[in-house]
Amino acid sequence: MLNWFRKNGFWASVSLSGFVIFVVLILMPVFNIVRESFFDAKTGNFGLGNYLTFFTTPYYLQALFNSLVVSIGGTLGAILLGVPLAFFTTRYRIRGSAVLSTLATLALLTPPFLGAYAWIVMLGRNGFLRQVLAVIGINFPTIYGPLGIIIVYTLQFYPFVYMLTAGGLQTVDRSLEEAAENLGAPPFRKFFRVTVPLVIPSITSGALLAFMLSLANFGTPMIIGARYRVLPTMAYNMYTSEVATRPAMASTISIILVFAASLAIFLQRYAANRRKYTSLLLNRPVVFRLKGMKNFLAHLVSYLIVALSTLPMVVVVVFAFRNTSGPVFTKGFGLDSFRRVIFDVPQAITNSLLYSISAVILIVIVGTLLGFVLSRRRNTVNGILDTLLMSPYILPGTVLGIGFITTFNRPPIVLYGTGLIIVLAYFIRRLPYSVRSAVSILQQIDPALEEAGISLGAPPARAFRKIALPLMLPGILSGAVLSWVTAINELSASILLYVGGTITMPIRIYLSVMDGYFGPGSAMASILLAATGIALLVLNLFGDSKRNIV
Amino acid sequence: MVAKPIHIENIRKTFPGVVALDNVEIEVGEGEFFTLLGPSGCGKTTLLRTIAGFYQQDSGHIHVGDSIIDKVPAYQRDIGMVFQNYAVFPHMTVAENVAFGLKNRKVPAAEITPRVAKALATVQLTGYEARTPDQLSGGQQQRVGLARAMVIEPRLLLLDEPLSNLDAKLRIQMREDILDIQRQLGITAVYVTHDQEEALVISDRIAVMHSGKVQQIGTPWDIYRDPVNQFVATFVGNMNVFSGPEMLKSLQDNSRQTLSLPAGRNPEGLKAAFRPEDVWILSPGQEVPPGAVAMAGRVDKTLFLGSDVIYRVSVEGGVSLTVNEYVAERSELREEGANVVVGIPGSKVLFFDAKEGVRLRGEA
Repeated sequence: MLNWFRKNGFWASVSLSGFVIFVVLILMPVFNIVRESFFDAKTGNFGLGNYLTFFTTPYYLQALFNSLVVSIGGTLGAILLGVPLAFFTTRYRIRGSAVLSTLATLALLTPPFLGAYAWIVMLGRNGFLRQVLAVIGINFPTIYGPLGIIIVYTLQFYPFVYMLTAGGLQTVDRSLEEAAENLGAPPFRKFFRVTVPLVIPSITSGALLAFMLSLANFGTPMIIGARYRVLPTMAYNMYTSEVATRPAMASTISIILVFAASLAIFLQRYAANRRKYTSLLLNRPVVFRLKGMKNFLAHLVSYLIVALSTLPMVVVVVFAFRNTSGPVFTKGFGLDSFRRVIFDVPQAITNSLLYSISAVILIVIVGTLLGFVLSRRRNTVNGILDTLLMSPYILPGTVLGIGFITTFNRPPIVLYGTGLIIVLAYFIRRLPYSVRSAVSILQQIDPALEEAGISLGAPPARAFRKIALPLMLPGILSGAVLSWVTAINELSASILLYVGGTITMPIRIYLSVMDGYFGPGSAMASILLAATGIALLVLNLFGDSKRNIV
Repeated sequence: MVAKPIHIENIRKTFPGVVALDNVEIEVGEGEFFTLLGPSGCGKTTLLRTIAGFYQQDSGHIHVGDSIIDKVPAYQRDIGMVFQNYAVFPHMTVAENVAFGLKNRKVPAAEITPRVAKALATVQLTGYEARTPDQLSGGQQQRVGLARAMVIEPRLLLLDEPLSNLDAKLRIQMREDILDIQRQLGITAVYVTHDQEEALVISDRIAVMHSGKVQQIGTPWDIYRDPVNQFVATFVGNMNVFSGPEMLKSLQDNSRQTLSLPAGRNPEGLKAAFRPEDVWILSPGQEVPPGAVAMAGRVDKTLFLGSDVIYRVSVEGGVSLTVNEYVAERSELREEGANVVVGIPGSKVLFFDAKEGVRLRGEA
């Protein structure tokens, strides 16, 4: 072993650890789910029984159908809001477009279940908006059900479409549009024959990202879906329900969910690769200053879209400061809810901080080293590792959670009930992003710099530490901050993995909402929002803010 | 600084599907300025990177002085390198960049400052110590790269197309500076370029490379005036090349002078070539100097360069020749459409085997 290390050196052992991580944290859990999914609980045999049941029972098929309905609905909504916003903010002068972009990013970084929660506060059974409307005699429908889920997804995921499309629009070389004009294309034709085709890859990428995340989302349908079951919530219920636990069926549903997610990813990759335009970008697009009614409308639409997605955050913060008595909000404002959160359940806060920070440290170290190996030491083995390490990308949190429980609640590795299992779940869910971002950072650092260091007498490890690492730092910092935000907001895997002592803030918020304790829930949610906001601020001040978010 | 001779002994290097270096054999003398010249993909950069230790050859040896360095890792080779895109560390100041190699060698701090100052003085960057690379022009960055590679007093200096990212004026100035510094330090240098003019100006000797093989090694004069094959002849400088018996026949028929062919060769399977500056351009009726074959033609195009002028002349047989004439010898340009006679001294005509491209010498 020692000899092997000496011969192959540090970087080979990094590759090796990459494979170990893949086997233990991805392959074993996935293998266990797959095995379980073929297990027939009644007969004790292995077979296709569960899959047959799934595809022949209306109850299950309904969940698949529902999943597709809300995901497609959310995706269409995201396109509907994201594309116009992108167009207006990149092509016309919109006052405060930097603020709009920041608010959209904030909306993107907050977990969807917070949005769902805020909409319940507004339009739930006792929602304040409904109460206000009831006073003036309007019986507004509640937000529960598919429409509510679609609204939340739309407002949650439109920033993906917005950011990618805006990025695309900003890199369409002005000369291309000028050439179209020069060749006699009127504005309308120029827009639809030149501009739109050039940004379609960006729009598709954003839309498929929105679709994927909608499909895998657990918190939103759980909170706002009422009896509207989708695949992730159904898998969760089958796995945890006290009445009729059916772990095998939960596994089958998980596999079908993973399959659907893979299909979406495949489509995204296909769409992104099929039409990829590189632009020299010699001439940046012109930003027009609109006049009169057009100007007013462009501003109105842009502000309205962003305001709508910011509204849930505002509601959460406001309600955190409202006085409550048990589950009921009372008159006046105060710090009561915060006091209760901090003194009654400090554990959720300390756990969340501890787990998320531990996970980020792991993610940064492992992700950076692996990213370096994958981009600078290209060979067959590392190429395979690259593909394998991307696989958590298609594992919805719920599926990963189920896989972790089945794998780590029995020897050889018993982790269930520990904080470590939650840290590892955060770690593996974020690792693909971290590795990818390290690779893309390195792509922008000329390998000749490290070679220069080596030719000046620095051994490879020193060259990495003195040259590549310092240059990667801003990018790594951005990646770390984003990883931290996703970790501290993680719900779908940790809700399966937590026990009383390892509760985290998102789980606490979820439980508060389920119990109807909106005050403390809002206070806790505000703390999460503040954490997310601070992260965004750090990103803007120190990081490479344009990177990684999407 | 200890200059060392180097010996590239029968180096072979393959990449999947490509032979990048095909048994390359080169000896570079102590303190010599040696250039690897060739088109992109000829293997010159691969050879340089193999010497630096970034690639490992499949077979063959690299000797520096008395030692074989095949197994020495790049960071212990003690070979300075100047990179095409400067590779100046963007997160370090100019002084830190230059000091980097000294720190790796654990040179005492008290010694580092004066050595950095001296190196920067050599490349005329005194006073730039505290600047960061983004405050420097391309030329200044490349000077930092040069100072950084020299300050460690390497036994060998490698330069990988160091001027190709600079603009034309600066390139001409920098190549002289590099030559001055190399002579001043007496360091052995291996220089890679695809620019034949640069190679001719700067080198003591040149190795012309093509598809992984060394075509010719020689002084710039030898390479230019006495190329061993058609590739070298056409890659370095310009050449008018004719092929086919018809053309050679018309060369013979149209002049009083007959062109003597290489021993035992017929016009079939031959190519003849001459440089544009080796000819006389005469007005019709002017006396053709003795020993020259003459061809009547018409000026198709006049390209005025200032110090001289390039004419494209179409001669009988439909072939277009490129010829140079010094402006100083004339009072006006020849106009397009003018009739001229091109006189080619027989001694300046080179012959190549049409198939192999090998130079054929000796007269019948």
